[in-house]
Amino acid sequence: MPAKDLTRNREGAVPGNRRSMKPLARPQWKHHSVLPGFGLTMGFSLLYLSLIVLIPLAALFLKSTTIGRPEFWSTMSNPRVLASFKLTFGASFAAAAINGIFGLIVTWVLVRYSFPGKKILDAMIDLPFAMPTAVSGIALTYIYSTHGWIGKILDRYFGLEVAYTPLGIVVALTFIGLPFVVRTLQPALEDLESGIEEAAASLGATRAQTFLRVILPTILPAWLTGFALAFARALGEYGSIVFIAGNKPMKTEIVPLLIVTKLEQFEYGQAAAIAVVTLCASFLILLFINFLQWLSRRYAS
Amino acid sequence: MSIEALNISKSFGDFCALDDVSLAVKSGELVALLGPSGSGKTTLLRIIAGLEQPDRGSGPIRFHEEDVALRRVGDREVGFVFQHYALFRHMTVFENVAFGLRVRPKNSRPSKATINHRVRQLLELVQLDTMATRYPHQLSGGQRQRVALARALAIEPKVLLLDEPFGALDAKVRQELRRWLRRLHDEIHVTSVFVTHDQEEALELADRVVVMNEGRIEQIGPPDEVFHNPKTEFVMNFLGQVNFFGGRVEGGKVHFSTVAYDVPAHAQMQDQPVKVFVRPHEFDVSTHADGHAALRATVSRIHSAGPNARLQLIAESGESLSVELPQERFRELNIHPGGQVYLTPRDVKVFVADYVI
Repeated sequence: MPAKDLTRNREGAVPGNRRSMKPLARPQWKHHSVLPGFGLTMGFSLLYLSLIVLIPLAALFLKSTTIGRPEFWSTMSNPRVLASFKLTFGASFAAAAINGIFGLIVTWVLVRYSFPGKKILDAMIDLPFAMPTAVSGIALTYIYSTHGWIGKILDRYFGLEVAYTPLGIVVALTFIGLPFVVRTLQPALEDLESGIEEAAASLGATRAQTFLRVILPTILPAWLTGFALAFARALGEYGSIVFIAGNKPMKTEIVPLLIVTKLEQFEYGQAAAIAVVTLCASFLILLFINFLQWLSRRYAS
Repeated sequence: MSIEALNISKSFGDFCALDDVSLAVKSGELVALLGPSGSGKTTLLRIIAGLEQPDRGSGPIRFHEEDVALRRVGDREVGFVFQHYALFRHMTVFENVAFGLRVRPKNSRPSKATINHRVRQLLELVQLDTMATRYPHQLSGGQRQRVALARALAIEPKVLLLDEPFGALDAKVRQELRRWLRRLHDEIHVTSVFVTHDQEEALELADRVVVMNEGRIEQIGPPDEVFHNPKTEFVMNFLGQVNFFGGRVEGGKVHFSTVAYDVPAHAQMQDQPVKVFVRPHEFDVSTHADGHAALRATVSRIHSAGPNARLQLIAESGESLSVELPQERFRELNIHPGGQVYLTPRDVKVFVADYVI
């Protein structure tokens, strides 16, 4: 009965003594915000997201199904494809791990100490974000080739070839991923209360115990998030690697390059299939990052 | 376990935080370091704990006759409670309290069952036994501070040091926790030093109060003594409200405003300029002059909400005064803003102006 409904107050309860009375005020169904425009902005967001993200991804999935299951499996089990997947995931993981350790040290130095040139060092961390990837690729290749400044030394004294080997790929990916670790760890380390270290020390903990049992668990979610971001970024990196990798099939061919190759051979279905697998991996990492974010919020007061 | 810190100095750059300070705390005592911010009280506490190093040339720091000045904080066996709790937020209440026992080297670490038992006991002591599995962010400020206290007590410290333990709490919780801490101290009798800038807290809680100012100790004594017999002008000013007058001592009497008052302690002084202090509750208030010398003043404001009525007055000689009197007396006198009253000081404190000494 509409008349009855109108007598409900905002909490939805029906006050008994008012049941027979005429309603005094219209119920408020909608709270008008100070800033209008929910409909418009939401509509725009959905449209934008659809055009840029959702529709292309859906098209990719559709395209990958055009080749049918048997060809999908034969594509994925092709030794050259498998090798490129192994290389891409392996190198990305190695680079993210290296960044995890060195990124922590760099962030530690940036947050905990003050020294001349700190601002400059801090700004330089963002360079890999800002530089065109092809530029960093060329620069790294130049430095690390067997004739380059660092490559020469590594080759002569350690017998290490960096450029045109998987090692070169790891170097390029490390360069690309550093800011992700530093920029996610920085706020976490800054938030660390100085008191908790003193508290741990006063309770008799050694420095190692203080670091491992108090500091590390506190910054762990942020640290892993930085690691995962660097890993995800490395999976898709193309520009900086094509120069330093040498792109030898089975040896230094990364997945994005393989997709380009497939496209050049007009194997659109296969290219899409490989892309879909990479995409799923990225989704899983994203899920993992969100889980970590949730975890770190749980402890934040 | 007694504490002795002798001739401690500490500077941060040009700023002198502690200037040759010596402090002795008897075994089982609860002592308050009281002072405004920047008076060096926290620095002194942190030096006793070992969280800060005194300057070269400072004397020894002894815990029960044993010099611990060269020991690291972890080896001094102090329980330290921080103003902002400094709890480990990724650990439960139980794990926080157990931390100090779990990080001990293997040969002196108690067994799991012993740790378990001890932590349960401590949580009961701080009345948090039902909260063992909670995380710090799920607790109120008062509960967090009790966890911090239990965590500090878990290592069976020789001394307990508390840095503004109630500073981050609101007034009501603060008062409850203060009384609770006093009862706890009477129960476990661990030698304790706490820092506070709240004079009420220091006077209510401590066995002895150490009043500090600008890196020096102004006075040490039981709460009664520092409140009723302040040795310096600073202590008088810092502990509660005062009315200040410029005056002169002449022939065993102090003259200020329009009255004179006997001061036998300063009988030998001749025509000496002094500072005169009277606490707001040390005035007798009357609505008519009854013979003996009194300050005449005009009532400008009345605050009567509270246990005592507080009056803001302007003295005949121009000083602005504040006076407190019991509600009954206030009603009896029927005072209104704009009315005239006569004030007779019951007790005055006289300090010789600094530059004379």
